[in-house]
Parts: sequence; structure tokens; C-alpha cells
Amino acid sequence: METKKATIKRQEQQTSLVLEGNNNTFEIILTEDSPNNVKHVFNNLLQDLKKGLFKFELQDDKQDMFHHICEEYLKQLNAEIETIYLELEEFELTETIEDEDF
Amino acid sequence: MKIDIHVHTKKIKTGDAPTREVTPEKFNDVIRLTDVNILAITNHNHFDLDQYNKISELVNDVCQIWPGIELDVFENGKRAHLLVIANPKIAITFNQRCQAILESKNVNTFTISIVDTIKAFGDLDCIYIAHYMNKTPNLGDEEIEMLSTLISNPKRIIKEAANSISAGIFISHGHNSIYGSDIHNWDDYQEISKGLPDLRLPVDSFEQFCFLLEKDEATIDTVLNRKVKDNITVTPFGIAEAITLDIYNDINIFFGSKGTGKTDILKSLSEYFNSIGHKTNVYMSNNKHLDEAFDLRGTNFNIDVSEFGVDECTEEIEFIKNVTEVGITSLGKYKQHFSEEETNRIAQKLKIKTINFIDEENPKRRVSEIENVIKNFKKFALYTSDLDVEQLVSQDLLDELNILLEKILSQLKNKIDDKLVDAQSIKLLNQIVNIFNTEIAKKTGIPQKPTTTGFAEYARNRIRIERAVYKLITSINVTVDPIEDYAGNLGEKGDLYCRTNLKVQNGTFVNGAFAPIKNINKTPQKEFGLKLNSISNHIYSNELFEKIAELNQIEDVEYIRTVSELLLFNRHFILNGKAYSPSNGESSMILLHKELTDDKEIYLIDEPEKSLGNDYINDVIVPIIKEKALLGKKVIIATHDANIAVRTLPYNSIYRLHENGLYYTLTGNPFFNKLKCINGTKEDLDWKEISMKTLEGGRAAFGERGKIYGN
Repeated sequence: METKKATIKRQEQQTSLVLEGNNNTFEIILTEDSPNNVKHVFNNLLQDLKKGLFKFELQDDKQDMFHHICEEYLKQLNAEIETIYLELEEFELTETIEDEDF
Repeated sequence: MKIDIHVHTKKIKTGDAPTREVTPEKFNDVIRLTDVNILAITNHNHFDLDQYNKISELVNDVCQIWPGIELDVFENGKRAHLLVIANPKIAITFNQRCQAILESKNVNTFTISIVDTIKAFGDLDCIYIAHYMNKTPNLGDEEIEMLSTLISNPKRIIKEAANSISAGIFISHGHNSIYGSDIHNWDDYQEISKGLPDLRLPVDSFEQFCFLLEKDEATIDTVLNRKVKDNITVTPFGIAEAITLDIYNDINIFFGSKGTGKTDILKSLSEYFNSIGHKTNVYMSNNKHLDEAFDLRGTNFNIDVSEFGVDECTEEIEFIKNVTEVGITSLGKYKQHFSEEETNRIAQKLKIKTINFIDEENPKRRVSEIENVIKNFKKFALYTSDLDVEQLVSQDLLDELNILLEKILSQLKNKIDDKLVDAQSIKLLNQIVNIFNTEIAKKTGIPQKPTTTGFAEYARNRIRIERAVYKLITSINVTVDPIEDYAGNLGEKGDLYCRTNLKVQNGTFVNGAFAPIKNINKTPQKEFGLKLNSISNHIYSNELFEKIAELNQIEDVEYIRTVSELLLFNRHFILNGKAYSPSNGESSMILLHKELTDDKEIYLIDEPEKSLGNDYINDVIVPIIKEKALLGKKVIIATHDANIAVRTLPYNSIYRLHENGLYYTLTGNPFFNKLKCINGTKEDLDWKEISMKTLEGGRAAFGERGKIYGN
């Protein structure tokens, strides 16, 4: 299982949880309650998940509220990602990457 | 039943081809490959009794062998050939007479006069078949006249023609005529035999053939009476004019001038047959066009994709129409929870609140999987106790199987118990964590910590949608093979087929010639396909539910419940692989062909010749009618066409006559050549004369009738 980096981007206007995706990074804005923003990230995570199982590891050394929120959020998210990956496999919805000849 | 009155089995003369030689064994093999049931052995100036007996014995179950000889006759200064054929019952005597005239004679130079021929065979009641006209070397009319004056029964003289056309012409001029194979090479006999004359009436013996030559009414009736027939009374013109007819399980022809009520009689016969439990109707030519008969507009056409193994996707369509977005956990809830500092000491100590929710779906699915396996095994266990199984499989084996099934079920029950415990434990744990969190929140005033981000449920919903859409798109993109129905034969042009092309509207299909099969318009069908593709492209996008809403906004979308409602069809005729529009005449041809090739017991057909050419009637329709007769079907036809009324040599000709304001019904047949009034109010008429006078193409039909030896 691949471990991907999760960081917290603290800015004056907003603070976000930044998740490393396969090709892009996704930001969950912690200082706003925007379901569409979270759904957008979930959609991208699901598409990445089809390519292989991963989990997020928080890389943050500040012990503030955002750190605790993200720690808890990622703990739950990682468990759910694993569950859904198993279902994707079961329904044959994962994308197999063919071996390339070098 | 075919007859061959001129067959060589030996090379006798120097000029005879060696391939005329045939062993009894080969003769037996060849004859069994043909439909020849009567054959006369007529070697040149020679009769071999031993060979005759051997051949007769070998083939007597399939073919009557008549003894004969082909004599070189010399009369009026010219040589000619005359076949003399005897009753097989007197083969020994016939052999003695042959030996007497041939004794010490050279077969190559042997000749005999007509007088001496009659001296030799006159008392044996033989059949004399003279080479005639273009069948050379031939006897002239003078020699044949001489022959007829010398024998006691001139009707025993038949003129041998070179082929069926010549024979037909002779017959039409009132001569008894026939032709034989005059075989030169036995390797060709099977093929040649196909062109030999058919005997329309079954002939059991030499004597019966002789009677038929004389058109002996009693003999003909005897033969006809063997055929199944029904005596039917119909009243198409009221009770006062009841018509009682014999309707044979063979060809029955109504003929007569227009307006004599033939169609009415056919309709009455149909009513009669229907009243006794048959299902008949009168086929009327030109009543409808082929387009209508094959329902080109698809008025009554209905088909479902499931018939081609395509999933109807009923549940998937219902699901996609009604699916809603699944909510996710608001980040505000995390923020609310973590923004308060927990000061309650007991709460701080309760570690249970830190336990994360465990997914309940997976264990539930495992339970459900085992439940399905158990269900199927139980069903199978029940099946083994089925009476049919018990009758076919021994009790020992069944007992063994039942023990095994019980073991399997017991193992599965243990497994499901384990999985149930897992599932229930997870459920209980989640409930406990939830209760603790709720109670802690109540006591401390700190908002409860969310137990899930909502990702799992959100993802599950999308996965469900993806699976449903994928299945549906697979179904609507399936290629359905066209349905091809044989329409009929267009003679030389080839076979006509009715092709139904089927297409499931997948949103991209454009063809104005296609129409929906179900009760739905083309626009919603296409829109549905388009919107479905759009949904498929937005499964993992925030716009997904907008796209689903667009699908639900399609007009009449409520009528699209299955993939079958997206079916389109286009039906047309094809000839040699290309689209073809049959003309009115061709339409008539095909409809009649279709009517006759449908498997029925009774065919009632009114004027089949309408809009049809002679070639088609002769080459296609007449052979089918004859085939139906051979199969013992009742074929009842009203016609003005001699090709049908004469060439089929019907067992039953029914003539309707209107004379001096009165209508008459006369019945007869070509075999005794008479038409008799069914109620005796009119004198007998000559079948041939009336046919030639009344029927279109009558004279020509009689002129070309040599292929059928029956009149």
C-alpha cells in the first residue's frame, strides 16, 4: 500500500488539509463548511483509488486544533479508503496498469 | 411413381453401346435410387428369361418388371422398331414365343413383319409401343393402322415419342403416347429417370395399366376410391341448391366461366371445414400486398431485447432515475468538537470514545453471500426429492448425496454463524461507541466527535451508480443480428427474404428509416441514450446529479422502464443480399408461394393465377401443388388457368356451368375424361373438350402434357 503525504496549509484567509493525489494535490478547506469542496476531493480520491490502495500520513508538527482535526479526519478517512478499495476490487472496478516492456 | 417402358439391359446388336449391359445386382442398386415403379426390359431382338427372373426377384419390393422385346419390324420396304411388352404373369410363354421367332437368327440382321409379329404374340394380350415420328426408326401411320387392324384391342397400341414434349403433342391430338429412357449408359440412369413420365394414378399391375389405357371407368373409380375423400354437402346458394361433392385428399379443381359461383363454393367449403374443427380460410389472390402480409410497418411487431440475451436492466433504470446524493460529514462538526477543551475528568478517562467506527457493510455482505449459497443448496436438496429424480436415480445414490448435502449445509451454517457474530459484534461496538459519545457530549457539553468522514457511503453510492450505468450502457450498445424470414421464391431472380434490422438507441444512432417498436417516440429514446452517456462521463464529478436530473426531465421518460423501450426496427425485403421492393406481380407470387408452403391439411385457393406468369405457375406453383397432393393434403383450387387445372391432372375436376339461366355442377376427372352432373340434370360432358374451351391456355396445356402419363 502506498503512503501519501498529507499536510496542513495554514494561511491568513483559510486553512486547508492538502492531500497528495496521483497527479495533483487536493485541498480540503478546514475553515469553511463546503460539502462540494469535500465531494470534489472524494471524487478524485475515488478515481485514484481505482489505480491502487493508498493511505495518508499527516506531516505536521504544530499541535493546534487543525492538527487534531486532520489527525482524526485522516484516521477515519484511511479506514474508509481501505474498505472502499476492497469493494472496488470485489466489483472489478479497479484499473489494472499493464506491465510495460522496457 | 414413374414408368419406363423402354429399357435395355444387354448389348445385343453390334451397334449397341457396351454400357447398356447391366448386372442384376447393379440394376437393383440403381433402380432403388430412382422413383421408377414400373419398368419394361426391351432388349433388341432378344429376351433373356434368366436375367428377367433374377432382376424381378431382386427389385420386386420396389419395382414391377415387365417382360418385353424391341423388334426390328420390316414393313412396306422399311425397317422400324416396335416394342412388345407382355404381362409378367406369362413371362415364360412370352419367352417361348421370342425364342421361336429368334431361333437361329442373327440379331443384327433379324427383321419381322407386322403380320408375323401378331402371329407370334397376338394371343398374349401384349402392349405394342411403336417408335413414332421423330423416334426413329419409326413406324408410319399406315403401318400402325395395319397393326391396329390385326390386334383384337387397338387401344393396346401406344406411340413412343422421343421426349415428353413430343408425347404431349401426340396426346393432344388424341393419340396414346409415351416415352421411355431407351437407356444407353446405366451410370446415367438415376439422372435420366427424373425426366421419365409420372403415373398420376397408382398402377398395381400390368392388367390395371391396360384398363387405364382404355380409360375404363370402373378401374379408374377403383383406383380413385382408394384415395381418402370426404363427401361434403354445402349450401352456398341456399338450401334449395345444396351441392354435394367428393373432396379428395388430393387436387380438387373448380373451373368454369366467371360468375358461376366458384368462390362462393370455396367459402362454403371453408365454413364447413371450420365447423368440424379445422382452421381454414380461402386464399384470395391480390387481396393484400406483401408489405402488409409481412407487416413491414411493424403494426403487430413486438420483440424484447431479452430474446437476444440482452439484459433489460429494469432495476438499473429504476435506480438511476431515483438515486439521490449521499451526504458527507460536515467539517464543521470536527471543528466544533476539537474547538472545545475537554475538562471532564471521567470523560478524559473513557478511552471507548476514541474507538473509530468500523465499517458494517462488508461483514453484512459476507453474511448475505453465504445466505445465497445456503439458499441454492437447500433448493438443490429439495430438487433431489423430486419424484422424477427419484424415478431416475437409485435410492442408494440419493441417500449418499443427501448425506453429503447435509454435511455441506452444516458447514455453511457454521460459517454463517461466525460471520453473523462478526457482523453483530461490529454493529454492537458501533452502537456502544455512539452511545458513549452521545452521553459524553450531553454531560460535557462538548459536541460529539464525528465517527465517519462520510467517504465510504459517498463512494458506495457512486460505485452503485457506476455499476448500474455500466450495465445499462453495455446493454444499449449491444449489436443485435437482423432477423431474416424467408418470403418466397422469385423464380430466376432468386429467393426473397424479409429482413428486420434491430438497433437499441444508444444516443448516437441516426437513421430515419428506423422506428420504435414500443409505444414511445424516437426523441425520448435518443435523449435517454445521450443523457445516459453524459451521466457515465460524470460519475466522479460534482455535476453527476445535475446530469441525472436532466435524464429525469426528458419528456415521456417514465415510459422508458427497460432497454426494450429503446429498441428501433427497420423492416424491408432483400434479394441476393440487397434491399428490394417487390412489384405487385411479385407480391402475388410470394404470397401464393407462402400460402402453399405453410403446413396445412386443407388449402383453399381462389384464382392463384391472378397477376402471375405462366412460367412461375408451371415451374414453382404446380410442383408445390403436386407435392401437397402426394402428401395427402386437400388442395381445393378455383381457377381459370389450364396450367393448374390440366397439368396437375386433378383427381377431382368440378365444373360450374351457367346455361339458359340455370347453374349446373359437374364432376369428373382427366382419367375417364368425363364430367357428370351431380344431380343428373345435365348430360355428361367431355372433360378435355370443356377444359380446352373454358380454361385460359387450355390447348397449349394439353399440348405439353406428355410428362404426365395419365390420360
